[in-house]
Amino acid sequence: MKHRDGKFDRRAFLKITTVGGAAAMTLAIPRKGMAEDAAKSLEFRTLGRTEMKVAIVGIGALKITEPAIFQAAFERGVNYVDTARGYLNGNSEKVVGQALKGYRDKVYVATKFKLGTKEHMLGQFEESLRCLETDYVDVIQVHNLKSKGEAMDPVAKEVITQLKKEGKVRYAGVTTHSNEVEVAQALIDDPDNFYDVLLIKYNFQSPPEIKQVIQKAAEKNIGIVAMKTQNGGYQGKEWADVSPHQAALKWVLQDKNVALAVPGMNDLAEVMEDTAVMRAPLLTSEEKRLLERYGAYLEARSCRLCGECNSTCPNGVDIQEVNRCLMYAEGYRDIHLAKQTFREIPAAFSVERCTSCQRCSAKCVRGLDIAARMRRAQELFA
Amino acid sequence: MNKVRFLSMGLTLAAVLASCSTTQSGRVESLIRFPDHLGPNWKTSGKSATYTPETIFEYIDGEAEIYFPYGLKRASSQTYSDGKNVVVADVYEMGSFLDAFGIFSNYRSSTARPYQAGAEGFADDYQIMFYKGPCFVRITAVGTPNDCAEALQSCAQQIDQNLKFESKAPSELDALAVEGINPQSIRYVARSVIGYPFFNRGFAAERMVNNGSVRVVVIPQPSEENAEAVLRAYADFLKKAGASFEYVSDKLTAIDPMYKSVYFERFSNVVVGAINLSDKELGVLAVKPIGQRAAQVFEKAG
Repeated sequence: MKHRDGKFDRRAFLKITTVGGAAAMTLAIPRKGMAEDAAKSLEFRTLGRTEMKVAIVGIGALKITEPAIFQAAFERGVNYVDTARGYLNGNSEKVVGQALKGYRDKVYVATKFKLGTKEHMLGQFEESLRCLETDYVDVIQVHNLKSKGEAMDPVAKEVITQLKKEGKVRYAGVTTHSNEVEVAQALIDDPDNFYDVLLIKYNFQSPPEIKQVIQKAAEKNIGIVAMKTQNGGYQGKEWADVSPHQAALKWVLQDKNVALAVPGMNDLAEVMEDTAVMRAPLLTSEEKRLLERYGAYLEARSCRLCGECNSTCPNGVDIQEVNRCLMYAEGYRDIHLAKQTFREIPAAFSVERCTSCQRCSAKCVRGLDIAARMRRAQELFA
Repeated sequence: MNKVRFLSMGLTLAAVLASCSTTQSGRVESLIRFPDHLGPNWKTSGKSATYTPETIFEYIDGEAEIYFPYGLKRASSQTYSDGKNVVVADVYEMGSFLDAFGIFSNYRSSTARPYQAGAEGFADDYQIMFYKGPCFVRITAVGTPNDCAEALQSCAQQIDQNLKFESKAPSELDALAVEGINPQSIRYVARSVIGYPFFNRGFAAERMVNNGSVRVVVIPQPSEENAEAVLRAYADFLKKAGASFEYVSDKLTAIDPMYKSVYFERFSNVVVGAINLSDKELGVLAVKPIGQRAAQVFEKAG
C-alpha cells in the first residue's frame, strides 16, 4: 500500500485536528481555513481574581508520559497544564518541561508541593522549576489539603509569599480531594484572601454542598479549577458510541463558577475527545438524560470488592474476584488484564460453577444484581 | 451448623489455603510482611492498611489511575515514626512481574543513586524504590534526611528479605537486550505506547546508533495477524491525518504528525519502530536487531 499526499506540516496538522468532536482516532483531513474557524469558537474564562484567561479545558498531566501528547493538546487550544512535584516521582514535571519547549509563553503552568518545613517546601519548588525547565510557574498549589488548619498553614503562606517576591510564582492555590467543603470554606473565610485558586474534585455525582461551596468561593473571586470530572467513571460497551465522558465534562463546565476543568488524558484519542468540548461545551437535554442514565449505570455496577458476597454463594464462586475482572474489563477498559485475571481464578471458585442454581441466592450488601454480573462475566470471558 | 454455613466455612478455608500457595495469581498478600520496627526508637504507627483497586483512591488519590493498566491488585501500607520523623512503606501488588517492572519504570529517577534492594533499587534522601516479583515497593521519609536514613534502609532491607521472589528483571526484557540500548531508559507501557491507542501495550527505550540516541518502541502481539493489524491501524491513522507515508511488505516509513520521521517494521508477531529520526536509514539500523531478538523472545513466550 502506498500513499503520498505531498508536503506535511506537523503544526498545521495538529491545528487542523482541532475541528470535530470525534472521540477516537478519526482525525480530520486538512482543510484550508479550518483551524482559524476553530480558534474563533474557543471559550475562555478568567480564573478568579487572577488575570489569566484560560481555555475551559486544561490538561491534567499525571497520566501523560509523552511530550508530544501535551503539544497536541496545546495546538488544540489548551493553555493550562496542571502537574505536581509528586507525580511519578517528578517525572511528570520533566515531561511537561519538555512539552513546554516553544510553548511556555502560550501556556499557563500550575504545579504543586506538599506541606512541610520551609526548607523542604522551598527545596521541592526549586526542583519543580528545574524539571519544568522554567524560571517561574503561574500557579503554585499546596497539595491535597484536608482541613482548615492545613489550608491556613502559616509556613506554606510564608514560602509562597517569598516565592512571589522572588518572581518565581504568580498566584497561589490549594488542592483538595477530601473534606473539600471545610478546605474551601477556609479559603473563603480567609481575611487575607491569600489563595487565588482552588483545584477541587467536582463532577456530576458530587453532592450539592460541593456546588454550593464552589459558588461561594467564586463569589469571593477564587478561581475554580475542576478535577476528577469523570468521577473515575466506567465506560461500558453500551456507552461507547455516545461518549458520556464528554457529557460529564460538559456538565462541570455548565457551572459558570468553574473557570476550567483539567481532565487527565491517556493518549491522543482522549486529547481529541476532551478538547472537542472546548468548542461545543453546551450540555444538551439529551446529554443530561444520558448522564442521568450513566450515573445509574455506574452505581449499579459499582462493586466495592468488600467480599461479603463470597460466603453467600453455595457453589463457592469467588464473586469478589469475578467482579474484579469485570471492573478491569468495564472500568479500566482492559480486556487483556481482565481475561488474564479471570484465568487465574482456581476452578473450585470459578464462575463456571454458577450454572447449577435455578435461583441465585448470593447477596450483595449494596444490592448489586450478582446473578446478572456473573452472567456478564461468562459472556465476556468464556 | 447448617449445610450452607458448613460449605462456606470449608470454602473459606480452601480459599485461605489457596491464597498461601498461589504466589503469582494475585494472592500474595501473605508474603507482604512489614517489619515491626526500623531500629532504635522507630516503631509502627498503627496497623498496616490495605487498599483494593476500588479504595486505592482514598490513599494515593488520582495517582491511582496510573496503576490500573498495570493490574493493581492491592496496595499495603505501613507507617513508622520515631516521634519526630516518619517513614511510610508502600507495597503495590501488581498484575505480573512485568507489570511491577512497568509501574516501577514510571518512577525511575535519573538523579537517584543505585541501591541494593530488589531489582533496580534506587535511593535518594527521602525515598527508596525497587520492584521484586509482582511487587513494587516505595518507601518514603518525611522529616530530616539524616534522622531518617537508617530507618529508610532498614525498612527496605527487611521488606526485600520478606518478599520471597528473585531480584531480577522480567524475562520479557530479554527482547531489548541489544547493544546500544540504555537499560535505564526501558519502560513498559501498559496502555497507548507513545500516546497512540492502537499501540496498546509495549516497550519504549533509547538506543545509541551511530553515536546518536534513537527512541525505539516494541509492540508485541499475540499473533502475526494481530501485529499486522497494529501496523495497518497505524497506517490508517496516518492516512486519515493526511501524513506522508509508505507502507510496503510490513515496513512503514512516514512523517508522523507527532514524531516526525519514523520507521516501523513487523517481525513475526512483534512490531518495532523508531521515532523522531534524523533519517530513515538510522531507523532501519535501530530497529532490525531489536526486531530479530524480540521476535524470538515473544514467539517463545507464545
